[in-house]
Amino acid sequence: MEILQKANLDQPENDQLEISLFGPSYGECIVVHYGNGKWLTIDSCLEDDRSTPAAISYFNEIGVDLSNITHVIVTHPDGDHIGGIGKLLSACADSTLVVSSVLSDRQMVAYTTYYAQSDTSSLTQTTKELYDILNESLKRHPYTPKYVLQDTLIIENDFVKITALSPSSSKINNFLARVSQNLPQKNTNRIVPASLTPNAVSLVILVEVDGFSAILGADLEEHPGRGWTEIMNNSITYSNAPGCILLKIPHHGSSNADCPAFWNSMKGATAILAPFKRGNVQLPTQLDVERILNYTNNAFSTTRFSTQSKVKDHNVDKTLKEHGIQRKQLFPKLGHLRFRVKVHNVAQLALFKNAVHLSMVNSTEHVH
Amino acid sequence: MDFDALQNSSDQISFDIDSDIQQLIELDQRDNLTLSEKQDEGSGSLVNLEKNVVRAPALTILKGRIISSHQDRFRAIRNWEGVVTAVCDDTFFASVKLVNDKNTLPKDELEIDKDNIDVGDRNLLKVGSVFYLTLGYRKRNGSQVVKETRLVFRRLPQWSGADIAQAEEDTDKLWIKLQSQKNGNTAEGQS
Repeated sequence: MEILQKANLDQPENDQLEISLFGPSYGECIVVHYGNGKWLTIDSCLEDDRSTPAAISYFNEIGVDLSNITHVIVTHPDGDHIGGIGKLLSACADSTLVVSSVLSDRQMVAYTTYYAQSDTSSLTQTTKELYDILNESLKRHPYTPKYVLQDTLIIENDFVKITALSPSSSKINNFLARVSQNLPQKNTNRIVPASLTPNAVSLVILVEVDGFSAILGADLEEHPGRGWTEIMNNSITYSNAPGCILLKIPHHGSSNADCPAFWNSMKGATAILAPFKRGNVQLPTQLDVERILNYTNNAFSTTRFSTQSKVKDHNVDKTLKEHGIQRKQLFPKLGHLRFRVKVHNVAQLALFKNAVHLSMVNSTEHVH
Repeated sequence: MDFDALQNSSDQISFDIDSDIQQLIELDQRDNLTLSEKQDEGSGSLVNLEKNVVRAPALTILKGRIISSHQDRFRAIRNWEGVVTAVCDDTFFASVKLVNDKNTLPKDELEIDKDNIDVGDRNLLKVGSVFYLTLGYRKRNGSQVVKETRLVFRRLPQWSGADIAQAEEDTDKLWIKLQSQKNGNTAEGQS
């Protein structure tokens, strides 16, 4: 594979597969060119302005008309994967919303309705975003939502086949049980919506082109006999897929998403991830980085943690510090990894903005 | 000047601490005038000072009148709304945004010593709790000015029977539409 530290931001050729990953360390978004000028998006994150969905910025920058976005996929209802998804879906007026089957369940609809309408803070956006996209989907005839689970075909044409490798039905049932337990009851205190830990119902996407494939791992975790093992053991599509040359590493490279057997099945693949930083959780850890680099040296991150700046207003921060309060910019700066390949050609990975080799994700060195 | 409009302004405020303290002292040396009365005096420095006044969650200012005493006055200069993202042994993390920032999403992350929380509020500290943090100056005993922070957790009301009934009704409306759409989708055989 060819690594490009500098490349032009331009449109791919019609017969070129492009998979671009954007990430600012809280949130990630993937856009896929699947041939003949057609695109889909997977999840959404925001630009550094905290307002514009990264996918829209990119499409505008390379001159893609948003009418060419045919599918907007939401892998799972977690805050770091749906930042600005409402804006993205509205802007892509001719697209089909693709979501996990969990969103077709009444309990899940009730959960989003309860909390979206009673959301008392602008700081808890996840359920509001979900509620908005469900309502937006009602206006989109004939582009009605597509609810998927393991082995559901999403797109198939002469160039590409795109399929969901997860979630399994059992995972969906477990998740919906948690949703039911968290529905508000009369005379109970309001709280902000609890985290439903939806990683287990993440949509993992398989992109197959003639002779090779890419796996986009969302946040699917691995537990004994479940998660990635379930895909390897149960997915008919996976078992028939050609060799994988690109993996979007699941769950920001965390150890609880690591499946050695899965890595062993895809030797030589390029691996990309969007890191995660919120509160005292930072992924990947240095141990995660070392583990992944043992699997493949061709591993890259959309950004580095050290792009999260500390002081913005000296007087304010000095006073906060006197009171035991440290302030940082919430998100490190966004970066972009662009993977392109044509059948029977060498693949290219281009690094834009703050994207780096994975070994640099924790580095504080200035990167040119 | 429309004080409410001032409160709702999303303009970022830059300030100089020494200058602000001097203005605060000058303000306190005057009689207990309302803000509007002070505005009538047309003092440029007062207008600048008012730009630095942000409504604090504890309602330092109510209907344009400073309600705290002459001897003990708190003036807010920054007011953040935050949500707790992680709780550690001595500190907690939160995502915050300025209350008057029109952008609805948080931009900053704070790591806050738990000492900033009143003992009576400690039980409210959990992931997902919403709070307000105000940074300002307190003028004590007519002369001493100290920098101060206030951290107040938001106490949310209970779900009433009417709230639940309304949410169920809204759920049914959305659910029925989605099901109808889904069945239509299946019938049309879209891939």
